[in-house]
Amino acid sequence: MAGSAGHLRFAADILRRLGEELNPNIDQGIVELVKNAYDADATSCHVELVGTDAPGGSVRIEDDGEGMTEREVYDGWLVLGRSTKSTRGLTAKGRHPAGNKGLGRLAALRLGERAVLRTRPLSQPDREYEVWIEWAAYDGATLVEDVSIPIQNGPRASAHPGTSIEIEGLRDRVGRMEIKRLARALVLLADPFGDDPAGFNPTLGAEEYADLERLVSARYFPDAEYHLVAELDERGRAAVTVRDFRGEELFTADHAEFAQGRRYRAPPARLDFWVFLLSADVFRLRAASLREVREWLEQFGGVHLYVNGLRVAPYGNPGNDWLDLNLRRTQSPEERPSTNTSIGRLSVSDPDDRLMQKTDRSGLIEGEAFTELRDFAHDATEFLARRRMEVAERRRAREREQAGSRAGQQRQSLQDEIDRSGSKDRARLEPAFRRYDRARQLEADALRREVQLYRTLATAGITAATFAHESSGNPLKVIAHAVDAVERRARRATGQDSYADRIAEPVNAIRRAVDNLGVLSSATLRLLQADKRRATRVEVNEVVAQVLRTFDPFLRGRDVTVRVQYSPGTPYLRGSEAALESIVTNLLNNSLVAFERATSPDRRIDITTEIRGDLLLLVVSDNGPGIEGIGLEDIWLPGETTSVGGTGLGLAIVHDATSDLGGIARAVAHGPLAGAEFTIELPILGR
Amino acid sequence: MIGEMTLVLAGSREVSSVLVVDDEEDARRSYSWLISDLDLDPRLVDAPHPPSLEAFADRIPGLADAVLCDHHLRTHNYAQFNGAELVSLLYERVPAVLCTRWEERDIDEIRPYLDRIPALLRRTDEESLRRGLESCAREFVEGRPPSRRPWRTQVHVQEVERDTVYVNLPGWTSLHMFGLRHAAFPPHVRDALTEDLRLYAEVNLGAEAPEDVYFRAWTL
Repeated sequence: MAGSAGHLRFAADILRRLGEELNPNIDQGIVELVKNAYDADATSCHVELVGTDAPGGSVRIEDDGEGMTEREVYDGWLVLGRSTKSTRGLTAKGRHPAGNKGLGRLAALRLGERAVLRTRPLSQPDREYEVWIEWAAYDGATLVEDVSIPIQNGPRASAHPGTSIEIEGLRDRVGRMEIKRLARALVLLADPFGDDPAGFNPTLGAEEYADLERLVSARYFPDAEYHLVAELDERGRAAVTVRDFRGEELFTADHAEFAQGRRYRAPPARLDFWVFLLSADVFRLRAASLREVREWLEQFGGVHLYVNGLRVAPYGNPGNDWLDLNLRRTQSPEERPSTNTSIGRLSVSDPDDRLMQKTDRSGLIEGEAFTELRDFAHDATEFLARRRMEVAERRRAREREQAGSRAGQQRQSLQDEIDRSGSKDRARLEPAFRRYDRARQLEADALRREVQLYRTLATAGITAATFAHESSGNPLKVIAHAVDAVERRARRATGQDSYADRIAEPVNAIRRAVDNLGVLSSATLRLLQADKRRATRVEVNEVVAQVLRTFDPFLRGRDVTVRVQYSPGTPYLRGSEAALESIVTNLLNNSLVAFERATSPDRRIDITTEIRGDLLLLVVSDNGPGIEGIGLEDIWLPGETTSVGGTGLGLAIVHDATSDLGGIARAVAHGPLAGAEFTIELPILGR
Repeated sequence: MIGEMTLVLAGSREVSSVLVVDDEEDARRSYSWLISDLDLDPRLVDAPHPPSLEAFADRIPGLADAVLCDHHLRTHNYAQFNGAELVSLLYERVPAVLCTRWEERDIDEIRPYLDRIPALLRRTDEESLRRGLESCAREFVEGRPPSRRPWRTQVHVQEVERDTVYVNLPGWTSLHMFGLRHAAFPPHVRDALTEDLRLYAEVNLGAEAPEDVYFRAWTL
């Protein structure tokens, strides 16, 4: 065979199939062209849809980007599957190219019967190039390359660079759903605030869909539940106003209230901060869907910083939470926004350059002006959080009140129904209802008393913790230092022998008393350690031993002997250490109180832990007077006590904490030591 | 002052005065008895001046040869910073010991600064104060002793709670859980914290007790 070279060629029909398969939706095709405008560093890009509610309409996309030269049209725009833009990294404005490799453009251009490109390159101020693609020409052609596309050099219609693409004779209509998707995609490409001179600001023109046009220009800001505006003047005074989504003023504060007399040593600034409540309930009646707002906030959420009108990175970039919104929400989640539920703009006017860029342009130097500015923004967001907390607290109080009155209304309506029933039924129903009502009232009263008791004890606990902090700090420290100084100086002044004879005994007594006091306060503080309330692996024998170590000074002070017999191994369960500690502590307290009710020459408490199958039995018994004057079932009820001044809560807590750990608490009035015996059965995970 | 002496630390550093920083007047005076019993000159700070942490720390080398500082400085409206922050800023400038009650809460608060606190004292007597100051001066000259030397190691996040992140150190012992505040992590690490995450930090793996362990230079 004679040598001749062939090459792959494409049938003209491939264009139709490629276009259709790559981009089934019209809106995605248009978005591809808008992305080309973004990649061309345009700041504005207008998408106009004309007569698109029926086939035959047209779309025009016009931008003010850098345009294309004849060579760029020839080697780039007309080459399918390769884009010169996508291969060059960041654009001149530092944007990451968003368009794909040119295939999306093909799909877009094929939406109509013809596509017309007009482009004015930045680098050639007198030129404008025009390209017409008539798709009908391909219908009669065999191969793609058989159709020639002239690049015409014509008179320039505008002095400014830019590109327009018109797609005429659309094959399909463009419905509201497509335009809505297009609007959402434009918002995701847009600079969030629309006032950054270097940002990208697409606009939409769509007859009959004014709401979608507005969505593109206003973004989702009108859907924010709260809009906070805080202003800082040149004298460092701040004022703040918060409005709801209807624009109604909710909270306001002048400088005195907002800053409590503090003057911020920062240049004048204004913070706009929008907080969204991303719940289905809130968005049920809004035009925007919850999903699209969430998607937008994921991309743009956080507080962005603008100095003299220019955006300063990285503040507000994804992952940059310079005001610690997320941290503060983690620490106190109620009514606090995160970077995923809020967006903000801090605009600073700094003509005197008090804010300075770091030399590597990675942000601003954290000098006084910057930290004061951050404090201002931080205080403003805290102001909103505090006010929202107050509102939430008022709402809860109102709900409590309403719950009471709702019950009253329901009671009245039941009474009315009974009154309306026939005289025979009424005679039968009325006494039954009265009995029920009395029982319910008694139960409600008991619950109210129990809640009050818990509140009182919680207050006592908080007060004890405060005192424990204070006493283990300074007073005990000063006493210990003073005793040390007395010892040192007495040894020097009187000599070692005289010190040992006359002074050592009282000095050592003071030391022991201080040590005991130190144990009492650190025991209180240990009970309050936050990590004890976490659900985790809890080693039963270790917790019992720890409580006994803490109680040791109390027990010795009351002449109580404790005998402990631990099970072999390391039985453990999953739960909170605080729950198990509550059980052991309250059973020990119960014994100590019981000892005061009877005289006994030797006070004794026996504690054993024993593994039985998958259970651990914790048994606490004493040789006190036992359980007298109260039924065994009633000892677990809150408020039931036989001790004068007792709270009646200790054993109720034992019962509840045992249930929390999945166990059962039992009591015997007189156990093997003659006093009470308590058995706590707890399911364990291992030994 | 008659009878005043000089303590010589690390073979050459002379200390004749000790600055006492504590938020309560009686406590400051009680520390001064100890210092004067060592024949050194106690200098009591009635109020940090200037009040800002950095400015006060900068001024300290001109005020005394060494520092004895309590960790709690905010309780009595004395300072806007705590002792650990101040002492860590004095690292390699002035020998400074930090006194603490050794509550777990205190240790958690001190831990982020611990790599720059050579001496943490629970009990303040003559011997422990002298030894603490000596450790500081020696570390400034000879570098960290083996128990305080940092090693890059893996840290395993066990739980992430509202205000605390619980981690353990497989390279030290898996049995102890360290509770670290969220603020102890740099922001890029803080945002990534999740249960079961393994990340890296420099840790003094030679430490003998959990309260001596510090973490620094976190990376994902």
